[in-house]
Amino acid sequence: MRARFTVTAFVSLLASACGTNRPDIPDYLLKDDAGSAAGYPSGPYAASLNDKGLPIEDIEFAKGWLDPKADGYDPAKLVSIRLSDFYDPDGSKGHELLMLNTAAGWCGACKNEHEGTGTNPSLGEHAAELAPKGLVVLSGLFEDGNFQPAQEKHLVAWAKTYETNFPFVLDPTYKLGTKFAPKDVAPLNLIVDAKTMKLLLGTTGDKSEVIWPFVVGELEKRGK
Amino acid sequence: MRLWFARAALGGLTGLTLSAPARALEPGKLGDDAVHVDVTNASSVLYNFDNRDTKPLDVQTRVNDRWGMWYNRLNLQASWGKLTAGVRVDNAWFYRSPYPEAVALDVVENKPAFVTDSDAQLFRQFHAAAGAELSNRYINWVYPAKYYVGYTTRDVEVTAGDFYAALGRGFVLSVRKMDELASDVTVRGARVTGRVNAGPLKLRLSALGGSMNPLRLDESSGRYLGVDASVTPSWLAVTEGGMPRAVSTDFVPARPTLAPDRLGAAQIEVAPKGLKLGTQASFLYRQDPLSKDVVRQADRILTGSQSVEVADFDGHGDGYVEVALQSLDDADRDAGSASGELLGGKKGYAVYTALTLIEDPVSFTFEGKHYRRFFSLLANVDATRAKEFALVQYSAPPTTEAFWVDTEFEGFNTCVTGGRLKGDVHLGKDESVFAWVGHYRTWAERALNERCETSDANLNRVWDLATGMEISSQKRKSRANVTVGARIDEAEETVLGATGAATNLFYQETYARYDVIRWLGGPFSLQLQGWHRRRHQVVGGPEEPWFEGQHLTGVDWAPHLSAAFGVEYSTNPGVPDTYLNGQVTYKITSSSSVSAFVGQRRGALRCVGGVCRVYPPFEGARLDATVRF
Repeated sequence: MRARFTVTAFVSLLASACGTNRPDIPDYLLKDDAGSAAGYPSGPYAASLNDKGLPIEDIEFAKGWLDPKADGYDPAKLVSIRLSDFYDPDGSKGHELLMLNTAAGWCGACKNEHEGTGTNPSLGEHAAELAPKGLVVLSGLFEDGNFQPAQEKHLVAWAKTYETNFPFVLDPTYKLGTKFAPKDVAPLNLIVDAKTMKLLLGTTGDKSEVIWPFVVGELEKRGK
Repeated sequence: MRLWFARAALGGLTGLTLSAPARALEPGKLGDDAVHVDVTNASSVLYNFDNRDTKPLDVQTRVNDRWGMWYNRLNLQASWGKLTAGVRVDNAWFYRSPYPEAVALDVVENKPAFVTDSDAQLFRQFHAAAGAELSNRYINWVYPAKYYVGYTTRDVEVTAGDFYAALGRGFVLSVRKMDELASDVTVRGARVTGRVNAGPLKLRLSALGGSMNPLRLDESSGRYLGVDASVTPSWLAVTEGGMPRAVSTDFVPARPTLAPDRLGAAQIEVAPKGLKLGTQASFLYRQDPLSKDVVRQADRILTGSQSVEVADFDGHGDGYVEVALQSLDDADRDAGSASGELLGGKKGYAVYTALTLIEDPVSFTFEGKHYRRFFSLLANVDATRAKEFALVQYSAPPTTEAFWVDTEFEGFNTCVTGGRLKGDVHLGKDESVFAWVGHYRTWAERALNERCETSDANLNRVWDLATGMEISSQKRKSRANVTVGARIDEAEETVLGATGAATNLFYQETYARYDVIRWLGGPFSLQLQGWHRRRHQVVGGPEEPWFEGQHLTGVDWAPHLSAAFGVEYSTNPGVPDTYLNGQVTYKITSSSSVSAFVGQRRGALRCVGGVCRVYPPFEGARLDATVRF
């Protein structure tokens, strides 16, 4: 009898959790104040790694360096950067492929990617080698080593540690990857056609054996 | 209405849990043979509160709060003479789950001051992200998880439907149930096994084939694996009949998270006296990869092995050797495929040995491995959208390490040479001490290194040391098992730590494990169980070494009642420091029980024999009832 009472009480406690908790949304949050730069490809935009052939949305980052090394990793030189800055429909900027990369302080695979491991060149070495052929790498730091949103000091420390030599932005809201992959499968890497901003390849985790043969092959196809 | 239904259903469950019959049904005879029917029902009702892992600007850590599920597994088995049949029907019903709007609002309300995005921007971003994340979680399903028909005689065994299978020591095929990881994979197809005894020679032939059938629901996250017509061509439409489907939502179109793999395998075992020779092979044939990694891109994987087992060295031990080869091919290679050197080029191989030598009171066990480009057969799941299922695999090359080891990082076991020697000394009938030393050289730990380039630049040297004792007394009613150990993992080339300093240390750990049961007299016994670790993970870990561990104090009142109180802790700055929990189990009969768990558990990477998955922290209540009718 006592057992029946105990179990019934326990189950009732669980059952009390039933019901709806769907909230109303204040009107001001429904205002669509995002937009793309003039001339940027229109949507629908890629919303998953499977959406190859769809353009990437024109994301804006409030703080970043286009050339961190040249800027001396100086936080005073952080500027606003948009993906449309790399859009090169007529080839005037010399961009063929845009590689979008995410990084976090807790992510060992991200650090390996930026540092280079063993016989794997670092992201910076790849970027320097393939930049003349039209590859642009942009990386976004989204969290620190304690899983908290990254701030300026983390961006500076990371860039100095790995001597980042390609566009590097602060991405505390994880705009770069939010549509494509959860944070905990970082690094996310997206290969985008800079002439159309269409997604060509998306991977998560350490996929250097997939990414770099693809990038090199894609540049070769373009005669680079 | 929803509330009423929930209470009614749970009330029904309550009644179920308190019923106490415990005998197989025997409805009658057909011919000379009796028909036996066995009905077992396992039910779990759980509710997750806020598990304290919520981070600013994060969806993942919010959608795992405040959800509840009733998860039921109904097993029906029947036997009649040489025939057996069974079906397991799983149903999951989520009586509460988070809404994308609530998640996005919470993100906006708690945004850090340094974020410059407008509230509307943030809401739009996180509403979409939460909606996509919830599109394959917390969805109600009823489906036939497993079913089979079997025919067994002394010489022949035929199964149609779901079955487990293991060939050799796991290189070629190993599909099984791993409760610790909530994984349960079967082959859904057919298997025929024949045995021939010709004098001293014993012959066993097995052939099997079908589609691979992992459990579709992950009860720790509420996520499910879904298929659709694009990944169920031809006869896969039959094996996938009634299974959970990918669904479209307001946020994402229907996209499969599982593309069922097809596999065929065979084994010949010849056992002349004192020896067992095994030849086994499997062929995995799969569809376009849902995740872009090297193993999942291979649409044809052929793995074969030869094993030799000496069952008895004249009373002084036994020995086993297995040599395996593996070929990965991507026949319909497209843009984005790994290089031909990996897929269709170099073959992988593995050599494994296990040797036991006994000379009382001392015994030695040695396990050694030498693997090059030898991969586990990973299932074709979308590891990005269904990361909880990334561990699903159809083979498990031995690690030669203690089964609990969770510190083989990245592709450690795919390009490695090493082994472990364990010595036991029996000091008396009830006392023994042991020690082991393991040493491994791996070239795939700092990075996946699928090519298995064995240059020093990729090398990590690992030492794994432990010692301990096993004691029993009071006719084994009391016993203790204590192990203390250490692991030192150093990279040949320096790595940059969390502070940016260069070091050769890659990972270091010291630990103590214990399991002590003390009989208190009569039906009472006390159990103390724990694992305490000091860890230092240089790449990807906190700046400083941290402590983590768990201790459980349990009291058993045989045969019916047991209760346990657990404490877990971690000094890792990224997670809460203390976790408390309690559990009570009432065994109605030997096969029927009810248990309740209330409290917290820390998130952790859990591994069994080298197969690992990350569990999120849990905070809530859970009621489990298993009843055999």
